[in-house]
Amino acid sequence: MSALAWGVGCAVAVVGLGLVMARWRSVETDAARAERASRPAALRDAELVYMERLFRISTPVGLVAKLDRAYRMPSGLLVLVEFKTRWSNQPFLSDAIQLSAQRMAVMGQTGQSVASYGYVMVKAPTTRALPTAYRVELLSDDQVVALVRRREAILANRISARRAWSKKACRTCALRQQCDSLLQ
Amino acid sequence: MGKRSRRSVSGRMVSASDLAQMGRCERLVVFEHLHGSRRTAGQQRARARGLVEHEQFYREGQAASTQVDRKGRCFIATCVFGEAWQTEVLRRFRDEALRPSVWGRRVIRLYYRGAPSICVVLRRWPQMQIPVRMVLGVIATGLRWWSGLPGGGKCRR
Repeated sequence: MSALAWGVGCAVAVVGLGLVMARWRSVETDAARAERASRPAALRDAELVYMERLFRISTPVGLVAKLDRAYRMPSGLLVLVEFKTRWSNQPFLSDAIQLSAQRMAVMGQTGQSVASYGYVMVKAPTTRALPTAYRVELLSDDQVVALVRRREAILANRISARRAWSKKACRTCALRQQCDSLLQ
Repeated sequence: MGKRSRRSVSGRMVSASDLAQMGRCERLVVFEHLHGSRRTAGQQRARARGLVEHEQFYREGQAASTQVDRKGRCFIATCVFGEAWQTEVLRRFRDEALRPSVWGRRVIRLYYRGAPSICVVLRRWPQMQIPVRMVLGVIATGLRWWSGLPGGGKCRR
C-alpha cells in the first residue's frame, strides 16, 4: 500500500514538474514571439546581438551609452534600437541624439560598423499596447561632438541655455514656475 | 529609461541619455546640473511605468536570444571548446571577415546547414572531438596571430 502511495506521489510530482516546465517554456516562447513581432520589417533577418550593454569612449569626447538593443544585419552592419514608453506616439529629437551617442560609443569601442539610422520603438504605457517602430536618421559624429561641447559650454556658463523646443515640454515641466528666475 | 543615474562616470564623461536631454530643454540640463533632478508626481509615475515596460522589453529580447542560443549551441567550436578564446576568435572571424561579403555569407549558410549534424556526431562519439579540437585550435591560433584578434567578448554566440 505504501509502495503504491509512493508510486502515485512520484507520478504526480513528475507530471506537476512537467506541467511547470511546459508552462515556463510557453511563457518564454511567447516572449520570444513578441520580440519577433515587435521588430521593424527591415530587421526581420537580423540577429539580436546586444541587449542592455554599456559602451564607452574617451576620445574625441567622453561618452557612455547603454544600448537597449542592437541587431546585426546579414551584411554585418549593426542597427540600434531604443525603447521608449510614452503617450505621444512619435520619435523626438532627443531619441535621435541618444541613438547617435550610442552609435558613436559602439563604433569607438568595438570598431564595428553601425548604421547611420536607428529605430525608436514607442509604446503607450498600457499593457495591451504594441510598440510602434520609427526609423530615425542619426546625427553624424561631428554633430554629436559639437553637442557635447555645447553642453559643456552651457554648464560652464559660457553660453546661455535655450528654452525647450516644444511648448508641451514646458507645460509638463516641474520647474515651469521657476524657469526664468532660477537660471539668472 | 533607468539610465540617467549613470551620469558623471568621470568628470568629462557624459551619458547618452544626459546628452539626449539637450534635445528636450537646455535650461533643464542646467537646472538638473545645479540642483539635481526634480519631477512632478505624474512624471514619477510615468517613469515607474516605463521601468516596468523596459524590463518586459528586456525579457522579450532575452527569451528570443535564449531560443537562438538553443538552436545555435550545436556549432562545432562551442561543441569542442565551450566558451573559450578559440570560440570567440572563430566567431569574430565569422562576423568580421566572412559576413560582410556575399561569398562569406554563403559559406556561413552552408556551415549552419551542416554543423548541427556534425555536432550530434561529436557528442555521440566524444573521442572524435580530439582531432577536431586540434584542427580548430590551429586555425584559431593562426587567425589570432594573422589578424591580431585578442579574442575579446564582442559577440554573443
